[in-house]
Amino acid sequence: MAAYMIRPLLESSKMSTKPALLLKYAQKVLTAQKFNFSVYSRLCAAPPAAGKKVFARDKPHLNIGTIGHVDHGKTTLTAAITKVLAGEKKAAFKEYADIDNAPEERKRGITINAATVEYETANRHYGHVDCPGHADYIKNMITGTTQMDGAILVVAATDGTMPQTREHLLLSKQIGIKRLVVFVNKADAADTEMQELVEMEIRELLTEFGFNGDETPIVIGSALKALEGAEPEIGEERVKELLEAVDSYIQTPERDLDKPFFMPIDSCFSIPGRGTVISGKVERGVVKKGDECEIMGYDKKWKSNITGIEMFKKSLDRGEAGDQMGALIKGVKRDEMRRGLCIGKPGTMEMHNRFEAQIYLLSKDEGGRDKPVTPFSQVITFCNTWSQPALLEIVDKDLLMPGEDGKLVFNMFRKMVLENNQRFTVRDGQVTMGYGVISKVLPDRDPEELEETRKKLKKQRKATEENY
Amino acid sequence: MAITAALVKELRERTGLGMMECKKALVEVDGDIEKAIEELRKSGQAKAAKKAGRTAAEGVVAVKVADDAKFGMLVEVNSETDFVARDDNFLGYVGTVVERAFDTKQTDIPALMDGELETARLALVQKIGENISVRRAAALEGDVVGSYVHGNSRIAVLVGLEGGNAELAKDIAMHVAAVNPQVVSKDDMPADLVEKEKEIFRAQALESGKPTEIVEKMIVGRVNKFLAENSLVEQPFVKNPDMTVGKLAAEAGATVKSFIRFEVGEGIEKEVVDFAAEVRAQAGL
Repeated sequence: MAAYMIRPLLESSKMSTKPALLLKYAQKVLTAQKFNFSVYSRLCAAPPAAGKKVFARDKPHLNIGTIGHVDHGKTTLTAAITKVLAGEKKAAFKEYADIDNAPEERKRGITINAATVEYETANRHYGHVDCPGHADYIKNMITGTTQMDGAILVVAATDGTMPQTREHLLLSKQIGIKRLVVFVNKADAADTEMQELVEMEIRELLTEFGFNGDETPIVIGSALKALEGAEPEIGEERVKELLEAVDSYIQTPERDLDKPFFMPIDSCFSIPGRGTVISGKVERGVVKKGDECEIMGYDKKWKSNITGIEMFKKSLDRGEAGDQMGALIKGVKRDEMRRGLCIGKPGTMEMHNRFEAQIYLLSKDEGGRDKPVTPFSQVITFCNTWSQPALLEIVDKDLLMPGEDGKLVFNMFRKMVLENNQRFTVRDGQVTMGYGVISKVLPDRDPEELEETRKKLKKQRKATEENY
Repeated sequence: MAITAALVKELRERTGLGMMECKKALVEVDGDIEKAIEELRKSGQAKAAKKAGRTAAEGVVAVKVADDAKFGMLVEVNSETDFVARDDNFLGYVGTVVERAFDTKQTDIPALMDGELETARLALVQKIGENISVRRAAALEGDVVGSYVHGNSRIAVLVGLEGGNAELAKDIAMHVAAVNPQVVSKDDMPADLVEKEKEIFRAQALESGKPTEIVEKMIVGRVNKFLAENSLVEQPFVKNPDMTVGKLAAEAGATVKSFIRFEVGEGIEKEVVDFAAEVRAQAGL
């Protein structure tokens, strides 16, 4: 898409005499664009409209969140963080509506339960959200509204861990957070001995839930004092210590650029005398002219070589994540290629026809269906550039209702490229029913057996009704 | 007597209460654990009273049906967050509540809660630190009573049939959970509701600028549609849309008599909290 945007820009600027400069400019726009997307909508199913204002960032961005008991001071801590950083002019507030590149979901009118506070430290830029409820968070994660790369668990020193702290840690595990930083709050209201006891308890609980209880940084302080600007030794200084701990302990997610080359194919054509060209947006990694590649999808795979890369009608030596490019591939016929196939570094992609996913079904007010999903109903799955019909199994419920999240197993009739944590959209004939994230790739299923099972189930259902 | 950390830890393990709360109680009674527990029980009531004003719109619904399927009981218990709704302490308490309601057939909340249940609730509020309330209970008696609890206990339904069997009642209860009809059949729809819908349709129809007699016909059509869409027996059965629920029951020789549907938090007004705005207000930026 970016290429279409750049092209008229190139043509109108009448600067074609200086291709090098132009290219540099175009790339800058592209990188900025990509970066921008990656911040607010890297998780959304459809890319946002092009041509919006862009802003560049030179620091890695991370999404973090506060999680903890309603009375333990999550809001106060976040306010204290922003206040401390605001002293250094490094914090800003962003309500969701302010974000000019609001993801597709917002335009569709999904109720969003997350507002972001932004701030930056010396090393990183952070988007900070609150996590008030389990279901709300899961929904935000699946629809791509928010995702946490790490979290700050807030525990009041006066109370210690609570029964629901277990649920907080369980959710953190479930959504794939590997590292937490803990803030023991209200240090002004609990003596040192009690603080130590609370710290011990937290370390035990962290270990019980599979986090590293010994190494997790636990900072003890008072958000309230930091906010009031009083007693800096338990206030401001501890907030700074917390931020340092977040900076150093929570890992930066691997950049797309550092991953193996991967590109979903969105169109293909042939250039007489040269061969087959496939085009798409590079999702991950870097590809160079001459690289070996693998193409997969619709039950089939091919090995090939990339003999040419083209962008903005210019031939290039390499393409990288975020680029809209065309690739000339050797030894593959145009007729065999189609939209929905994926191309990538050999051995890094897999094809499957069955997977388990976390799904959020849009409620009717959000533009979804009013009917629930029943077992073995058929939907269309849209993922990357492919779409496939799928039969659904519901994992631990009888029905999945609009406005709810749940686990579904997708059975497709053909094998497509897919992997864990991949996002997709689910539609029935008319509307977008919901969004999903692949949680587990399951062993392949024989399509013929699948068809037979479907027929058998239909018969069974009829039979039980007659038996009442 | 000096209060050691070990003593606080012991008291906390026994009661599950907050760190400083335990310590203060121990200081108060000079380190006697048994007396401290008594002390905590007293302070718990004050603590629970303080939280009573906070909105509790999450939680679970629970149901119990008699073995002979003649009677069923439905309760809703609320908490402030859905994290608590997943906690074992909370779920254990909900279990006790539904058992008690079932045994006493008591649906009046103050009467049901009087005594042990209220004491247990106060203790739970003290332990969990959120407002927890038993909101409502409903009972259903009938020839065949079936129930369905959806997913993570957010919707529960009781259905009463005449004739048929428990399996059919369960399927119809599932349908009620999914589709949320307002009444069993057309005739049960309250007249004022029908009147209200009529007014809305009339206003819409008049806007189209059509003659009055046509408008009247349109209204009749629309009202019939409204009634059919919201009456259980007229709705297409969720597991097999080719058949209405009424027909499904009739083919099994049963009639749907009544149903009760509870959804967690329905009708409770929730405050909309904007985290960023709150943080901004607190930070004074």
